[in-house]
Amino acid sequence: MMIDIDRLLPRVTKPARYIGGELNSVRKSWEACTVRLALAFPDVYEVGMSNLGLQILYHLVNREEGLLAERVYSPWTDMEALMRARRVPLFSLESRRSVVDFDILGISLSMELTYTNVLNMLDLAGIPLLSAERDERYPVVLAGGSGAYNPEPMAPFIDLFAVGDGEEVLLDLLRLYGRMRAAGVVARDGRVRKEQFLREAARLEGVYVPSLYLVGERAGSLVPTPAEPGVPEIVVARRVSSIGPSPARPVVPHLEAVHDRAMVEVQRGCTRGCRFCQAGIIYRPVRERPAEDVLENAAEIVRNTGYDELALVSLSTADYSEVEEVVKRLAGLYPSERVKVSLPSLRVDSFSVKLAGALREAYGGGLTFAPEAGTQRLRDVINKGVTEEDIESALEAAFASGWSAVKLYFMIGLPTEKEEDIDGIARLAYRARDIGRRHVGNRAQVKVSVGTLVPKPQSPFQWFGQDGLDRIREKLTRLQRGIRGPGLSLSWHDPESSVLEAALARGDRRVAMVIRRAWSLGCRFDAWAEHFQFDRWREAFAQEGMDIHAEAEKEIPLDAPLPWDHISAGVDKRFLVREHQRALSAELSPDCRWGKCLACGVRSSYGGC
Amino acid sequence: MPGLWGSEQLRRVLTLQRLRICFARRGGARYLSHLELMRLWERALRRAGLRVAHSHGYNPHPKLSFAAALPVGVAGDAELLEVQLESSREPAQVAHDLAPRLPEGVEVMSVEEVPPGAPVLQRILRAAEYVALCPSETDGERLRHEAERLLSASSLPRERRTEDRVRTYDLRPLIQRLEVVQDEAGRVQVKMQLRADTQGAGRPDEVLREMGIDPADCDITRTRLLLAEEE
Repeated sequence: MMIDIDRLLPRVTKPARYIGGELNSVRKSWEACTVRLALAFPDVYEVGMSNLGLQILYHLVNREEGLLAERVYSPWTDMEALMRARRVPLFSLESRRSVVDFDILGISLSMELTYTNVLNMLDLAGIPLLSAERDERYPVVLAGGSGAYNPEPMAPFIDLFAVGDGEEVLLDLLRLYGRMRAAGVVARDGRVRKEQFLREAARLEGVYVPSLYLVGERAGSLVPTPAEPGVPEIVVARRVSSIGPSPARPVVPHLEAVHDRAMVEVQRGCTRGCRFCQAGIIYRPVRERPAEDVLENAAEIVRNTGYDELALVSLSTADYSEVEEVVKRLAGLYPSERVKVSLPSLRVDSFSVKLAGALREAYGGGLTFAPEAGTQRLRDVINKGVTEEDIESALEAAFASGWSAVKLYFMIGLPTEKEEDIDGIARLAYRARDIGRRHVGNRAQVKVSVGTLVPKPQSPFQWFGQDGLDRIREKLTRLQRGIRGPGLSLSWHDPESSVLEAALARGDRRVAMVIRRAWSLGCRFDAWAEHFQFDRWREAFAQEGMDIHAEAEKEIPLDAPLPWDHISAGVDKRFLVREHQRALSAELSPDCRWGKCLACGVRSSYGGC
Repeated sequence: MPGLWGSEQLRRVLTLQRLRICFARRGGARYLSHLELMRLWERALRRAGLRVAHSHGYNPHPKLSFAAALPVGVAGDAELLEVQLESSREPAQVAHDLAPRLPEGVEVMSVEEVPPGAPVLQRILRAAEYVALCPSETDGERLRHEAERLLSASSLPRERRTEDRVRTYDLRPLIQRLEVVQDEAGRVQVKMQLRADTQGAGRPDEVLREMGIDPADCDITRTRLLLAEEE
């Protein structure tokens, strides 16, 4: 049944968020498909539509006969209020059907600050929040994405997690559902029997079914262990051996998306080994795509979308071995068609500046570099692998090539950080301005942007506690005093939201109840400054007998069991311990792509790297 | 070669092909904002392989102009858009190439060539016709009285709120025709012709509000744009 929203749309901001029918959206026959997936992203349309992963999965499923995927995003608060007032359930964009009609609801979990939105979406769909309270009247609720690497804070709400690259495991799950339905393993209304399905699914590589685990307290954390034989003790993330083409016909959003451009993935994974970085661990090994494939793929995406910008997507595109070749050929291809080519991340070196120089149009606003820390010692602690000379040569090259603005990104609250490291940030900012002035005079602009470290599970920094809020604020004040004057500006990410992120990121199942409480206290869209309510979160933690600050700041002993020990990125925990210890002694580890193997464990987990 | 506007550049500007595209937007597409619709067309034209001319300067933008912005939520049966192309294309071919490359609800009605030197759309637009389909429980008789009241008034002062201030204006001179009819299904329709030129443009939602109807309850369509006799 198509849900009527015609009387709602004239009353909300940006109604185009809810209409669907975009170019390249796919609308398959509901009746002709045997398994129907609602693909949900727990944020508004403009954010969700920027997600390449979801576009990949959407088209992958819809390409298969008998399978259907439709998109669902979080309605903005004005739409939510109207939907609740008029009892309109959460609906999909394509056929405008109630989410509850789908067989499987797949949710992308990428960021902790969207977790209350997940609960809100379930609630708006009329789906009970707790997995244990759902029978076959409701879709199976599946979650994937980087959030699955510590699934525990969301475990009670999710029936099963797909850990790792989603391409294969999602199709496996949908086909399993289809086979079981065809075999008649169904409940009264034709849905596959939930318990049997979950038990079968748990046998698939990369699938974690929380209800098949018992949770016991060990060293202060709730840690899951298999409740029955046949359930894996450790769920190893799924990996695709090669990266397929990015969708040739991605859905072109009606609204200007956060990243509103054609996206072509050039490689997945990164082995630079920055020790704070979760992505650098969970997407291993590095898998590159051949330059010819990338170029061909890029051309068809541009042709099929009409975008005026194309991004070469990866965790570190300057490390892609054929980046020069690809950039050179793309730069020659598009000037007449006014398509800008951009790299989402530049390395801090003159090579990256040279790349950007070949793509001038895309970098009109200036170049962004991320030295991350203000002194060489601290950059070695985090294994940034960037020297003072790299930074200077990047800045020289940038200003000498005519750019007058650079943005420098730093993190504060890094382990072993001292006042001199904070002052080092200011010193680098002034140094950058001096270099700039030498080349472009008083036009030189240096924008410093500062975030707070959030220790993330599966990273070598997972055992560190976050700096206390007061200390973070002191450091910010020190920076504010230190960085002022013409040509300099300083901006920072709200430290309270980083505290919440940290408290959730390393949480166990008790944190799940905090999330539910925060949601019932009205928290949602926590990543949005205008909706973020730190006080309510603090209260939610308190009501569950926890302290948000203590959770964020907790140091975990290296030998303590972790709530996410049953999830493996294919990386040996001993490697993470080694990297953690090397951080404390400021020892560098080389990028294994060019240097020696660091025995991270990926080679044996996946039979190669 | 003399000066900034050397003959080469001048010749290029004069030889740009001008195409007028008439299109409809219905269904969900009526909820696109003007900005979103503009971007939609930029992309659709690029997808169809058309080389749209761009303005010069620091931030070049495509030479694309609409006769009149369509308010969010209002459908259009025959909207007008003009583009300038760097290289000429057969209008019928352009229509053919655009058709399969548009999102749901947006449809090309016709494409024709505009002679060089003809005035731009905004300058020859005079008025627009709208039809508002009212909710089924609407009292048609009351609305007919309302229409008469509006038409016989000498002025209809109204306030319009923009983001930060309130502006007072007279709605009456913007209403050229206004009638209330019943369609075959017995539903009440408000038909109006509103002024739309460089001096001022009437909004259908404002007329409906003045008549005591919530425009959000109606399905509004701009059925026609009226242009001055073209020279």
